[in-house]
Amino acid sequence: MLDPDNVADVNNSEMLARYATQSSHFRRIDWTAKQDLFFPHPHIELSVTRHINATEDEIWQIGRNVAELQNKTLYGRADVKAEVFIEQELTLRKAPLANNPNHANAVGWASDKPNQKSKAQLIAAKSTFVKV
Amino acid sequence: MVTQSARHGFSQAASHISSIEAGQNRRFRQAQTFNRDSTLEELWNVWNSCKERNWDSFGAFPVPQDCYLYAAELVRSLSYNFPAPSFGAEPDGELTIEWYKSPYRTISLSMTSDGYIHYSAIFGPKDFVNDTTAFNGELPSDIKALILKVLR
Repeated sequence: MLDPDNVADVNNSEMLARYATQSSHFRRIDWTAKQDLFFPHPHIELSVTRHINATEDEIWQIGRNVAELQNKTLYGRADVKAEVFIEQELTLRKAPLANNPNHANAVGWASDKPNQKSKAQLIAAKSTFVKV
Repeated sequence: MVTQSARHGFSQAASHISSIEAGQNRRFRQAQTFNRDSTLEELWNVWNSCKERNWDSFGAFPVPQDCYLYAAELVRSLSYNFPAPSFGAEPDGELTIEWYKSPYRTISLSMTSDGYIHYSAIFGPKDFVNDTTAFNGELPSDIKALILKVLR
């Protein structure tokens, strides 16, 4: 994991994870993420976890922690490169948490819903879903 | 002059064929009705899982009952041979209705509680269409055309 006292800015080439804790956030027919998983409202920011300096076990452990906090099931995660968010004119801000120094937020979402949906769809299309 | 097709004839064979066709049609209708029922059941299950505040534990707004009722009305308005959608919810309290062929051929509708549909369809990395339209009891023709284009 990243050193909590020395967290670098998010690089475009970094891989990011978004955890799926709702069965309606992905498609079982081909294990792909739906736009619903990448939808930011009502916070107007989307929470993601950076892969950088984290082992596969650590990445999954963060997902289990997220699911436990929500009292939900962890179904998997969608991995997507930071540059995909940048292509959608979003900004990635490091936002380390006490239990997750690799935490970041995607901000700068359009204020109108149809454009939010398109951005979420296009990000989901470039993501890779990884089952638990 | 009156002409009759074989299935409306009077022979035993014609009668037999007619009864087989009637049975097939009945089974077909039952199968289609079952699909619609199961689609509505899926919609209800999604709504039931997100009708309370904070359903995602991250401060999501509850999905109002009107939102569910509009979505159910939209599903009921679909013809029997129309492809079944899947459902989800967004944290701002709206239900999503999706038709999907591949990651770059998908359309998602967000049903609002006051009878509007926000929609977005994507056809490629930089090819998308989105807008908002009123829901008047049946699938708007422009959205129907996009769904058929997505699934083509």
